[in-house]
Amino acid sequence: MLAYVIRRLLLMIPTFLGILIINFVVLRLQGPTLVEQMQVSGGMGEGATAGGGDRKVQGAAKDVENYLDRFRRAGNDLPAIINLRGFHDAGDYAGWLRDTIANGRHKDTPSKRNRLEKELWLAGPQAVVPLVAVLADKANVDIHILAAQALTYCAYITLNPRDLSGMPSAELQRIQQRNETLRNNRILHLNTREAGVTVVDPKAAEKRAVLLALFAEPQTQAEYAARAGGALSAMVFNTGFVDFMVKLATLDLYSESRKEYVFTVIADRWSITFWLNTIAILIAWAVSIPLGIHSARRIGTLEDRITTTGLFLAWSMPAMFLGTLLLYHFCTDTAASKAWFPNRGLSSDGALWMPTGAYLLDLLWHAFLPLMVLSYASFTALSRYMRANLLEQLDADYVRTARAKGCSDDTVVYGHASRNSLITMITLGSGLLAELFSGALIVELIFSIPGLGWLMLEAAVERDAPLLMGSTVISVSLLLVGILIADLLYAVADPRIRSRYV
Amino acid sequence: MTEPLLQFDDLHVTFALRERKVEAVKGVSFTVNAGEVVALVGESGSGKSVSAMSCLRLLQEPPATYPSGKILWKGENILQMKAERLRKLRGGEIGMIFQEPMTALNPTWTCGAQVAEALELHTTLDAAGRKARVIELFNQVGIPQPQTRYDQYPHELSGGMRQRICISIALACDPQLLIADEPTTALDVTIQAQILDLIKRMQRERGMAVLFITHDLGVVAEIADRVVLMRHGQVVEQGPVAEVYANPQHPYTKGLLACRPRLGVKRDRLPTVDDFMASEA
Amino acid sequence: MSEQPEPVPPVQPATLQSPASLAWQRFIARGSSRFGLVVMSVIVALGIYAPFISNELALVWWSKDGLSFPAFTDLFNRRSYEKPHDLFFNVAALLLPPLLVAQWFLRQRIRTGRRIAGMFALIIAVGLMCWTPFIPGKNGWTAIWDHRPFVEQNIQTWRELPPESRPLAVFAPVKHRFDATYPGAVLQSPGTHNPLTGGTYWLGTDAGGHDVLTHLFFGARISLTVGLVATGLAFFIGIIIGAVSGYFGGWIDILLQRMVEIMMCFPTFILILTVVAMLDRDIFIIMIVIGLTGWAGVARLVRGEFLSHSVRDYVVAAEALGLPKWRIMFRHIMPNAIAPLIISATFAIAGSVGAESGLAFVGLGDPTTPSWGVLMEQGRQNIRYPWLIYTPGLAIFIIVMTLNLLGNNLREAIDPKNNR
Repeated sequence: MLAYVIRRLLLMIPTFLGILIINFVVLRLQGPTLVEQMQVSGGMGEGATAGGGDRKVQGAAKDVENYLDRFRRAGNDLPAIINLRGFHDAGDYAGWLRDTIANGRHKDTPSKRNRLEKELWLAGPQAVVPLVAVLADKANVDIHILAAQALTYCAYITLNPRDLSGMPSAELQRIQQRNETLRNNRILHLNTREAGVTVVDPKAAEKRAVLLALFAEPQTQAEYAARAGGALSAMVFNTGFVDFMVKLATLDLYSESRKEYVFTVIADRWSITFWLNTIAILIAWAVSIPLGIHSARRIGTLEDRITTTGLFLAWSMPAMFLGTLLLYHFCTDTAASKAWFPNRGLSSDGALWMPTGAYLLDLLWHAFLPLMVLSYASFTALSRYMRANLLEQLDADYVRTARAKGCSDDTVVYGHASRNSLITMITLGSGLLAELFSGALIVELIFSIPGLGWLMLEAAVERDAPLLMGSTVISVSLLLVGILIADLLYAVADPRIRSRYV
Repeated sequence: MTEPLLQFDDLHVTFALRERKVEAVKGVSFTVNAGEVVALVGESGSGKSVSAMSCLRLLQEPPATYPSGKILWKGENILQMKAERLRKLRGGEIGMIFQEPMTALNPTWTCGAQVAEALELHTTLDAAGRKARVIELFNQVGIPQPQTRYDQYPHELSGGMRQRICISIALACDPQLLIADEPTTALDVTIQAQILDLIKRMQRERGMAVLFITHDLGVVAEIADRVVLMRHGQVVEQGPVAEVYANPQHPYTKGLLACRPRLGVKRDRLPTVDDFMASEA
Repeated sequence: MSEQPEPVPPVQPATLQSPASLAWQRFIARGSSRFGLVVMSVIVALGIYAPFISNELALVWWSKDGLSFPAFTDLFNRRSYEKPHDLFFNVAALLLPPLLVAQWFLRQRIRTGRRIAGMFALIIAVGLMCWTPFIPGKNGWTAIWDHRPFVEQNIQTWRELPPESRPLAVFAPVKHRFDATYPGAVLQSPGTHNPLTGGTYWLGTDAGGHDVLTHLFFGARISLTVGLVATGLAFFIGIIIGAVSGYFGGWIDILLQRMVEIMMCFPTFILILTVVAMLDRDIFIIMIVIGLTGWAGVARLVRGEFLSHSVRDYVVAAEALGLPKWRIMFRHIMPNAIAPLIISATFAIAGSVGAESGLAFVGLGDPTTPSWGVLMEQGRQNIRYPWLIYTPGLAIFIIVMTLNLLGNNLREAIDPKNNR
């Protein structure tokens, strides 16, 4: 049995990873670009003039820095799956910088711009040594300014809270000093968009000298090279996905837009979804199995046909229609009458102070309609399957043997046939779980229940990648656990499988 | 003459399907007396299985109807028995075994439990008593290591073993009649012989009647006292085995007997039953 | 004994019956199938001919300047119908009568299977041309489907003219445009009068001021398009992956099966949510995404069928004859696997319609389209306006129910359980 469980778990791991990778890659497809966001938040020296613009430049620079920090802490600067930046040398960077100038940023398609930007501006410690080489090379005079800009961004070291507590203070000081130097020597470059006028920071040459001096020491360059890691290992481990997995494993996922740790946010909500779904499945089973058996025994009668038609109509009814109808008819206060059921949430105000009995009753009152809407769709599928399966079983030879033994009809149906049907029904249960997850979102929205589905919707709309990935991990885990339990139950219940694996 | 145990009296069985009616059995009459082995012989579709299953009313009643005729068990008409009486009949007074041992047992119950269920339905033994009786039955039908087999599931046993289990279910409550619906057709030849021997032995030891359905004339010769031949839902000939084999009256019987391929006889062409039926009007 | 057996005369069946025609007869014999087909045809007809049912422009305008048919010429006006699916349906509206007539007249000449396949191929070709309007000619469709000036021959101008000089005009039954918002007409209840056009909002208006009845008709276009395109895409991918996986086996099978398992375990709603939230809210993207996430079940089905068939004797015989693999797969094995696929497709269309409405309901729909899901979302946001709940809800319910009904009957027809 243990071997069976372990084997199933091992098989699930590639599935789990595959789901995470797909979701991760999709999320990264259209993430906001650093440059656009920086322009939005006033960076890149827009509208800066020589003199009085200095203070504004300082302010803008601080904004950019904050944004860069947040961007990097979220792991968004790293490429999603494979990091090939370590394989690029100074010549490549020079080429890219020249491309940027040649194409003129405003003429580029957004996708080309994004790619260039991500490669160049977010390249991090891997680009520092090549960019210093580009900056130092006198032949690259046309791209010195851009190179210096890129260098200040790439060389800027974003500190995580973990770093702040873990690093020795001497090293911390050195890094902070270097960041300060980089910040102060940020070179301006107005976008060539503005009627062909290029305004350059008058102190450009000075700043370039300062930057070169900063990186002249081989020790500094060695530090950055060490941070970058070898090109091959960086290819796999300096990627967004690995970064995400590490954060997941250490429960360090942080949502920048909500300013909260992801698992804190989820912790409040996932239990509601879990309980709602579990109880809905139980209700669905409790109703459908007897219904299916009853239906199978009375096949062909009027009662059976009415039941089948009713179930068919229930199956075709979209959940959102039924839910909204119920909300309208039973939960809305009109001028004439008070609503029968509450229309939001799972507990009334002041519920926490109610005695246990009243609290449970209140919970039931709130949860009744949502549970109904969650479970009704499964009634049809389950009971129809049970009915078909039971009819199949009743045709089987062993039922004939049982009848020939003298078993009554009830014994045959309940003792023999149903038991065999139930075993195949267990596998249906795991299929239900996946259905429920999508249905839960609609129910949560209609009845304003703060659950995981709604959280995922909000995260998706806000493009909050860590939160969305975190919730995906939780829901996929729940799903896979449910499937595993169903498989285990199936193995335990069916003696033919049990003897193979136990 | 004593009253026959089982008497088919002009039995008609019709299946009422959605589009049409199928007359499976068109007026069958024969008897089975206590302690004798009667073989019911015919091709597929001759109505022999339908007749046998009608004895215990095992056919699904909506498509199957009995427009006329009776099946009398010790004078009582089985076709008109109430549910309660029928239940007692099944397994308690008549036992039945079927053709497919591979699927005849419930895969999710242990073998012992299935046999014990028969005892539970018809006897007043307690759990321990039932278990003891089951082990005894297993010994009688020749199942080795009955204690282990009691807790095993059907899929752990071979076809021959499963058929023995089915036989023990059928014999558990000492029925007076055993109906065997082609019990050896699905088994290997060697196992066939063993099962046949078993049935013969059980019949001798218990003195019960057997209604043996088969299409194999060799088996008939080996096991039966009397033979009833069916074709197209009707009885074409019946009588003691030796007589019928020596002097077949009906062309069909003649054809069946003559068509058996025999070693050492050279022919250009094997005769078929149709050759014989052509002479019939 | 006779010398020789008499030769048995060959049996002449009354009519040659292929499995497909047998199944079709069983299908059409049921009353509920006929009912379902009728309802489906009505919905499709409403969707296709919506511009003629619900339009401000006149169908016929006969003034002293001459006779014109503004509603017809407006069909290719990009200002009025700016989405590709609208173009497709407009073209279909014009092509449908001649197509049906051609089907009728060719029924003796060409076999039914080929006729229907030909019709589908034509529909798909037209569809592709509509979504990529650059194919034929120098400017392709863009020359025809262009922004044209606002058409004067509509109900409002007609009413503004003094009664004596009004030209003879025939108008559509519902005199509203689907993209028009009438000032002050937000969330009007059914039966409210529209002063501008002189018509009534038979089913009220929605939160944007559109006439709900018009949205009902035009929404049918969206639902049908989403259902067909999403299902078509999912089946296309699924069939190829399933066929390759099932027929070739080996490591291809193992690899593809892992992929299928990933897609099946994936709560695809999450994926759809993610993708649609990331990309634009365009109805086309929604369709593609629903299709791209739904192929796993199809692949598994097809793989099962191909696996069980590829070991059968007729396939071995075909291989022995030296037929190329793709031919064996798609001309020999495929027709056997098609039956469960058709059933599955019917349910998949219903599922896609439900998925699109669900997406719109949670707020991820395309608000520029008259989708039924968008109406329902407005119904949820403004809970006191029941016509916004009932109209789209019943519409979606009817379309899903009809498709389910047809699917059930197809299942019974292809796999009859006679003695039940």
